[in-house]
Amino acid sequence: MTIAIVGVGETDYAWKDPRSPAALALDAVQRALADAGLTGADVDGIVTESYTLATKAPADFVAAHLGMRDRNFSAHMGIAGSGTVGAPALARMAIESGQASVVVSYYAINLSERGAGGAYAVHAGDKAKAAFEMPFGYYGQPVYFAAAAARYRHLYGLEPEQLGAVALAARAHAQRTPNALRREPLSMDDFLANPVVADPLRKLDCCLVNDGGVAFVMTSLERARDLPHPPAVVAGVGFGSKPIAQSGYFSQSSDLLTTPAAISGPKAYRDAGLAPADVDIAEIYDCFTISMLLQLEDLGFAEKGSGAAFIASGATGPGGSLPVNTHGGLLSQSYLVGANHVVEAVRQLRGDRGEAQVDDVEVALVAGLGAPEHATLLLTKDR
Amino acid sequence: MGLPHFEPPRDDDVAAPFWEGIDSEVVMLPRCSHCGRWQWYPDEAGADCPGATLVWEEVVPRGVIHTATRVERAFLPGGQADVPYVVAFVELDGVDGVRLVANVPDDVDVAIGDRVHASFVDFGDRKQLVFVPDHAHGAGARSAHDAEVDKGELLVDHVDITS
Repeated sequence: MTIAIVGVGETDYAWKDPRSPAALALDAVQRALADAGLTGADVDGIVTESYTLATKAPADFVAAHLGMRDRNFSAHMGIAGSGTVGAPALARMAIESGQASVVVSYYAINLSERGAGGAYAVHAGDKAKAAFEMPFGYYGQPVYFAAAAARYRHLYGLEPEQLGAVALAARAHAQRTPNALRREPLSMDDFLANPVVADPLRKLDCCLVNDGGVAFVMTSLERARDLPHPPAVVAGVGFGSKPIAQSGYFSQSSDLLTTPAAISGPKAYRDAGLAPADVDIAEIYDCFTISMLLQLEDLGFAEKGSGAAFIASGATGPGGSLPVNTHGGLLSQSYLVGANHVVEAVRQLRGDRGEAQVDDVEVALVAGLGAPEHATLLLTKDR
Repeated sequence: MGLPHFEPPRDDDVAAPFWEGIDSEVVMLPRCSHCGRWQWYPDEAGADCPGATLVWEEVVPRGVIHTATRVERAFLPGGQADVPYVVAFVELDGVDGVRLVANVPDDVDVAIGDRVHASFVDFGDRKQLVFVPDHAHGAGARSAHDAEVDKGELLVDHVDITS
């Protein structure tokens, strides 16, 4: 059985939203259900991210407030982007097997929350990091990704302007996206003048830090055809992981320059019967410019080591041959951990994106990274 | 020399042999008593082979820089880093599957692929593991630029950076 995404919802994106992640999640789910023409009473399944949401916005809280009668299927998927983008894999199993008929997935975050410790605190309680990495200052996601970027530069060459091209393309897309948090123009001169935080990464190589919630609703394609919007068909989805725990991932992973997108991508393409050449747009987890670049290569859009030149050619910007992160991504729209990438792919397939609409989108790829885990999702028009 | 300020947890029994080693100016790493595989990072689950234990062994602290980044902004809790500092991964000779995270002096030129050796730097009431490029060690191997920036400190393995 094929399933489809039939509703999407986003809260406003902000810094210092007073609401908890659970309240933000609920708001987003209610918006997604309204978009789908459904209500909480229609929902009988929840699939959401596991690493933070199991405690920050648990399924029982959302289900109770939605008025779900019975949560027939309830599951937390993988870490961060792999959990948000991979959620349709579990939803499809539940719907195919008859365990659920309408499944919602959501992500929410409040990084301005007092006492939450900000963006870096998510790793502060890790014993291995505290013992073997933090005493040497190997701490903070910008430092992890700088270590990978420095190695990429050593092996393949990486000019500041090539990383800048990722940030500039994201900003150009964000300028066409009304709810993007960063819409002011960004020039290469601006980028190069931006301070380095960990060589070779600048502040503008790093994603945003914000609050917000995102949700999407899934059901069978058959039912989807009776709902208000054209269905975004789940043509294929793949989940994959490297054989290493998150603790050591950012230093001990066998190859710092190959993400687990190299594992999930082929599974998704095989599942969908599609190839990289079939993809019209890609929404790729861009927690950093370098992470988007690495996944772009791992997903087959450029040979390893040639992605930087591909991006610098303008291919991923508005009007390029493969527009990437057409909403501005985590770099310029909002840090909603890839759930916002799913929403963007759905809107592009519906043709709802106004001045950001890419012509003739038939196939959209979404890629979600979560340290050693990764999910790749292929969505298509109903065809 | 800029170094980050973060005290290793002294109440972590799993990590204790590593830091006790550093204080004694040796690098100790854990390996499986059954298969001999270096198991890094160790955790409370111990050796992966059933019935095996982790055995800590002294290794020769020489190797190659796998990657390195100069950190210009402090992210550590409390923000107490003396930036800039350089953090690197070192792959030790003959120690497969381990990348040691450590510091490199921020005032020498260090490149990925450089051969390095350990230096145990006095740092408050403990020592810090710092890897120094072999090329910064002995005038014959140093470039004119290295000689210019050299302050004499890097020619010895015990630098008191707190003084």
